[in-house]
Amino acid sequence: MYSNEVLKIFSNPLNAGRIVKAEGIAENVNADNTANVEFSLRIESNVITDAKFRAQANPYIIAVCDTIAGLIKNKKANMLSLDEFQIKSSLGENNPTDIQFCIDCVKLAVNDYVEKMAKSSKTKA
Amino acid sequence: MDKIYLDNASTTSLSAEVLNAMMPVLTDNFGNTSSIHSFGREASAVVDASRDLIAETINANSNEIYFTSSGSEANTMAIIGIAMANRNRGNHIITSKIEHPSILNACKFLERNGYEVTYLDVDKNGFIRFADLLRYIKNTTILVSIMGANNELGTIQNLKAIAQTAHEKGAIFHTDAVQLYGNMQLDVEEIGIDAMTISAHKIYGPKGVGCLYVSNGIKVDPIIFGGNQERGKRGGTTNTAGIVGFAKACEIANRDMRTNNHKLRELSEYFVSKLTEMVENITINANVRQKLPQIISVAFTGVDGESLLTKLDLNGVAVSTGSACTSNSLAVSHVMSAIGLKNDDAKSTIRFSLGKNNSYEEIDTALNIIKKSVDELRAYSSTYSAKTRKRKGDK
Repeated sequence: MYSNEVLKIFSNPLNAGRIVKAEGIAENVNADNTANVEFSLRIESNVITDAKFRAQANPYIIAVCDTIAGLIKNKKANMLSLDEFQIKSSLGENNPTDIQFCIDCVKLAVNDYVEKMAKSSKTKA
Repeated sequence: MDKIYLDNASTTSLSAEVLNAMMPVLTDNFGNTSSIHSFGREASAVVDASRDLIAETINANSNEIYFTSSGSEANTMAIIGIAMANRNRGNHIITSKIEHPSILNACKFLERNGYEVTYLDVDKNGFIRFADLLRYIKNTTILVSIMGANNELGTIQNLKAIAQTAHEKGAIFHTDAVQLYGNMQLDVEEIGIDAMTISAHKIYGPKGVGCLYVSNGIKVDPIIFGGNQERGKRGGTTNTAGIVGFAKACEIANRDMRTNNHKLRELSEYFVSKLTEMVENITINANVRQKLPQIISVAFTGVDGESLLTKLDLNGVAVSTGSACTSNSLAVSHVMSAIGLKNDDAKSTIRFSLGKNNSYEEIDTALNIIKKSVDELRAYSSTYSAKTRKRKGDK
């Protein structure tokens, strides 16, 4: 059973999809191997200007991903801070494990960006 | 928007004929069957008539029918009641890995209390292997319990052969026929069934009533204690109206069996054929002839089953991801695991179960909604495009 907020977001996720040639991209699979999510980030001058997700997951996780993608836009990638309470308040229900699983995926996507930046700096040097 | 119900293996709607049969009992014949006065006697008479009718449909004697509150209770009574009553004969029970949770959890209870239980594997279509049954059955085996038709796959087991094997070793044979009853003539004498579970709400009867058939001569202990109801085998005030509705549902199911089976087979074949045509990359699980055609288990590659179920529900189509009794659990269905489905396929599986009241128009509407929903979910699935690319590469 899902909250009305979850069902509303799940019915029409605004941030579903994939950014072509994203600066940061990562995939994550949850511990019991029942959900798979991917975040792709457009990052310009260290600011996340766009975020998209793709998922094979239940409606709650899809709603969490869509909420996170909305929350992180226009935030600085290297100072990104997300917590479950922020997301919980948007969704009306809380599953800390699922939320953390999605947050971890965003962090992996940011790490991917940071690593790419580091490689690019080395190449230039 | 009219809703379309494709979850008849979970429960069915109450038939108008059944309701009509129940109404006088609900309104006028309210006596307690245990009472000596006329109110009690009148209630007792309709329960006796119902018992006679149900017994007749399976070629049993009336005193072999024990009414319960559900199929789950009847299954629990069969497993625990028979195991306890026959403890002096042995302590070994054989069942399968795809049984209803009421069987599996009753077996686990017995294991915690000194019994030994063998859970038979099944093949990819959900059939038990006779070689396994022959290998594990032994002199201490007191009970073999194998379901008639599986609630998630529809696979129908060869009950006669299982009964024969059980009897050759002196074991009692129980079958959970909750899904099968009403779809196939079940003559307990002819098949060799010693105990059998039936439930009313799967055959357009009321919820809250089922029964356990136990052949005369088979010992069974009560699991619910109370008065002398059900000849001392099941305490609790008799659910008179429920039992009358149950009997009426049994009568109708047997009366209309041929017509319903014909309709359900044609409707199900139409559904599967159109679905396969309209939606690519799907797998029909247990796509065999020896099954209930109306239970259709489908894996949609790259789609989460729960998300698809929710999307269909939001668009007015009711289905389920597995049995209703386990659908609140996030774990992959034990039935899908037992038939060897990979985790990806198991979590993308939906059960459609058609009923006698579904129409071709409903099926066409549902198919369009299914296609649209699957397309929408696949459009942003993190695994679908990768999988399809891999499949193309494999070729």
